[in-house]
Amino acid sequence: MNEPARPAGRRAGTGRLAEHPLVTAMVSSRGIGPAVPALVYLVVFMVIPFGLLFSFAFLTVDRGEVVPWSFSLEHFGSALGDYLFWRIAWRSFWVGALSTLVCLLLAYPVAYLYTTLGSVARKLLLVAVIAPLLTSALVRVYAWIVILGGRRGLMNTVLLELGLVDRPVRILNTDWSVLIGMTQIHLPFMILPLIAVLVARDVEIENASLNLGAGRIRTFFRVTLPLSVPGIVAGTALVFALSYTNFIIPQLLGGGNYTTLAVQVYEFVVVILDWTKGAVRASLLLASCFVFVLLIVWAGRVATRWTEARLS
Amino acid sequence: MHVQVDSLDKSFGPTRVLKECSLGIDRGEVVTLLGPSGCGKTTLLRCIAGFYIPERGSVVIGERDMTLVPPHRRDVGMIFQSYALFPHLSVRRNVEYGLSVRKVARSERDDRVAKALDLVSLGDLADRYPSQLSGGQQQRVAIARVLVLEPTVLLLDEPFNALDAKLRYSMQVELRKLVKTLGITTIFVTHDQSEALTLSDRVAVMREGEIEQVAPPLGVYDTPASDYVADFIGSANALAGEAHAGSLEIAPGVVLTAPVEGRAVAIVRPENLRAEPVEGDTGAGWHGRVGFVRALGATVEYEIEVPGREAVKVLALRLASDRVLELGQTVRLSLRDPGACQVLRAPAP
Repeated sequence: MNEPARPAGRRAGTGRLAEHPLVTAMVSSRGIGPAVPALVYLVVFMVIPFGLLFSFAFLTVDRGEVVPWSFSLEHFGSALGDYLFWRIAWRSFWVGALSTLVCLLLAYPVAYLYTTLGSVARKLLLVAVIAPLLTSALVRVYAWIVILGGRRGLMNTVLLELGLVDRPVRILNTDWSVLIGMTQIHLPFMILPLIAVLVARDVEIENASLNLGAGRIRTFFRVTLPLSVPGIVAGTALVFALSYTNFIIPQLLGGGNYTTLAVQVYEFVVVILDWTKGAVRASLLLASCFVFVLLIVWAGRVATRWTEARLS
Repeated sequence: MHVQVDSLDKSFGPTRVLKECSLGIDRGEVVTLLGPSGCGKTTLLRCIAGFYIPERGSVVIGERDMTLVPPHRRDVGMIFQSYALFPHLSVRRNVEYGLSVRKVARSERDDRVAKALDLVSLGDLADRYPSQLSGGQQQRVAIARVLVLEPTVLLLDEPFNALDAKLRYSMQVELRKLVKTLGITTIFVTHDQSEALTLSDRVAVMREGEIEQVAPPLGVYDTPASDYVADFIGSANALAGEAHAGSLEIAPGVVLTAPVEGRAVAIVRPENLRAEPVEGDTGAGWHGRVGFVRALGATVEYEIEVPGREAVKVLALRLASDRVLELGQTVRLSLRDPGACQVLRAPAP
């Protein structure tokens, strides 16, 4: 009885096809078998293109042709030594981080509310959360331009008519419009993992906390919140990665001169056709994004341990 | 009375789960709420713990009306069916939780946690996490987590369900000893009658939201208040008949004194019946044929088919030298102690 309980092994699949050794190997839980189709797809359509892009960052291109054996780190060096590059990278970071934080603060109450509702209300809320994903992000960005933009935009008209402001407020083409757009467009990606974690939680554990003398608020911060850290980590990592690398929102809502790293990649590759510089920035963007996501996961672990330390 | 529940009513939507439930429990007493699933026993327990607010009635704990007091101010310990341990906290922190919420001083806290863990002999596992423990160990943590707060009332919601049969029995005995030593007023919920008989000073048998009978374990067994209770506690033969002038004939020539008139039912325990083999047809009397034999070693259970009536269950003690009755054999039935049979008014059809 000292052995911890383990879930029993499961076997799925019946019929002749399912007995084929290849299929058996794929669906058996050993090794990478089940992931092979996705792996092949990712190698062909992601790893190879990334490899090509990456290699451009080390090569010199002269009049549209790659100079053979021109491997060099100087392109990275010149980007990293450029003050402007760091300013733009910093903006990418804080816009991404701030919109992620706002998403988390807005999403948690919604996800929590979801778990307290009846089945019909739950479905309605879920539809409301998912519905924006059914329209293209580009369309929604343009909608924000209509709402926020100009003296005669929707927002300014309403504010002026209500007499809340004397002069039209300028939000479009500032940091604010970029933040508003990113938050709205990425909010579902924060709400959904939080719902998944909060719905699966055992309410009896919260009852136990109440029974042991902790009030509702204390129970939330000591039990509910720490136990939802996996959902917070998933949502935060997802939204940060999306916001940090998005180039449409800053470009359209920030005005033509609002530059982030992702916008620069787009401009170098598509507009200026300087693939080397584009590849350098894309590589740095990707690598730093990866580092930040790892930091978020690590922070989640520390936060869980911290709540335990706080208890002592 | 330490815990006094008075005409409690609780509904969920259109379903009335508790109907005027009243129950008084003395200080230090162990009472079991026994009944099939859906009879309202867990709801009653949760009303006492404060997780449900009843529509009518009151819950008084130690002279204080607790009906509307939120659960975290009740000072009532509860062991949940799933144990509900905090998965993100070690065993030590789980046990410490209630003390840290109450802002007990550091030194005293360590002391009490160590004592509570020793009480359930889990001192060695203090730094493990709940997922690293077996079911029995998890239950001990749940018990220590509650007992460390020295509650005066302990509530347990089917605490032994997740344990295997052998461990279940030893945990039952251990827990009974523990709460008796500590003198904690204890209320158990279970659907297992042997558990109820093992653990309690008194058993409250519940049926469809009502408390049918409250009595000591042997009391509910020997003098059940209804055929429902008789059937739920142990097994019983319910033999129906018409009672006249203070007597009820349950079989040809077998007459019991009846305190009721009209349609009545006699509760006859299987061990109160004797079945003896007879040769050929012996005319009048209580006869039947052996319809089923279940030999259990120390005892043998028979089902005797009586013409024109329901089959009768008979339980016989068995020694190695005794001959077990054979299937199809004709037997004569007789009562060992007619005084031990309960005659009750028949329930309305």
